[in-house]
Amino acid sequence: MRRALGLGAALVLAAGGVVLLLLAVDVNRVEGRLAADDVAYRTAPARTDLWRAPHVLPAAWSTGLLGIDDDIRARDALRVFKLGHPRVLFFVAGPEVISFRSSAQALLARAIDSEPDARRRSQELNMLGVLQLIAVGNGDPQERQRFLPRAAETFRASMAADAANEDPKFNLELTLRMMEKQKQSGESQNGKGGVAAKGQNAGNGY
Amino acid sequence: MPPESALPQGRSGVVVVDVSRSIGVSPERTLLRALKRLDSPDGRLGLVLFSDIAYELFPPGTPGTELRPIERFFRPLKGRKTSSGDPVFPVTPWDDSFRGGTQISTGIKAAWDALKRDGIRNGAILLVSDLATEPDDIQHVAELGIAMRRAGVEMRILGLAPKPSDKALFGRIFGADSFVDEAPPVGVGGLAHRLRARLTAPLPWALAGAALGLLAALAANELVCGRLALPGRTA
Repeated sequence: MRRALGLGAALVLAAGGVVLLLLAVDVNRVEGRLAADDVAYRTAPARTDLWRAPHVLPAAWSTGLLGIDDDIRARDALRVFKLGHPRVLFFVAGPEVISFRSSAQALLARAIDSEPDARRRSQELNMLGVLQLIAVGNGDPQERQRFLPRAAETFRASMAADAANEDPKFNLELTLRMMEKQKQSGESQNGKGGVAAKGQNAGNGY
Repeated sequence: MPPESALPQGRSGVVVVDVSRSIGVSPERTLLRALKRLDSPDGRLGLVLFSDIAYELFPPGTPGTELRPIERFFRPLKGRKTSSGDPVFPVTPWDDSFRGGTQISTGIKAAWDALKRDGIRNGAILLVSDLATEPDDIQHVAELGIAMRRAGVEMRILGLAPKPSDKALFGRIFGADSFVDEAPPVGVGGLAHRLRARLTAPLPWALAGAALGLLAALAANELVCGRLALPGRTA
């Protein structure tokens, strides 16, 4: 009986050892891949396998052990944000660019909700605000009314997360001006005369 | 795709089915297989059909077997082919008015509204679609994705032969792990899939607690009220 128990314990320990060894291999791969893909991103930002190391065990084990899930999420969000070419006007941007902008909002929201670093959270909120701001670029007054206050709120949240971040302050100023202009053009449409609202050159300030 | 894993275990779900014209013949067969797997007596779900508008066919909590009458609309008519050799499907109630462009956000929103209306907090939505939504709808889908995740509504997607770019887009919005595979219902693959679904199913804690309580009571009974061990008769 004692011999059988000893054999069983040895087998369990051996299996545990193999798992730990494989985990060590995965962790080593992830560490190397993160740094290498930061460089690769500069030359090929459209690559979809960036920061994804090949793994033997579930990938979440090694990234979770290293505590870099939030780093990967932030990088993914930034990559898709850049692919959305935020400086390109809404009218010129093709459907693919628009789809990158929309999905970047979802990725940024996910990154923001789990971001422990206040400075990076502020940057992510600022990027989300920018995407909300340029979503009003099609000049539709109803869309503007929906997105401009939302963008202003996001920039305020970004400022609250990191007061030293100047970008959301600038972008909030721009958004408030656009809201004021929107209000004035709304009044002019309501019988005071003047031109109707035109599309803004949104996206030139950030 | 066994029903156990199509919708998350222990959650009330709504299945959102794309019936737009962009769905081809082969994906239509996948759709039929998906409906058949969900058609289970112990499954409870709601059903929303959509193309550019959405319609709630069944409210959440409807038995899965109620899907059976719908399945015939996705089954090709025997012995009939189009001039190009494609199978012919029966005329559906939504053929004329309901199969224009694809606005996936309308289907997702209708499903979420149904969950909210029925007071289901941690519900789940299974989207069955080719994911070819209109470009102007993507922003709405992304907004819904953000709001649903924050509200704790789980989204699962069964892609009907989606284009890689569409699959990547929905993966970014809802997470790459939101896609469910169409696993083989039979064979080793199907068995493994079912086993995994069973193992990941939530434990009925109340039942387990009651069983442990009964076991403890039985043990206490044996300990306290067991037969007295009388001393042996001495000569």
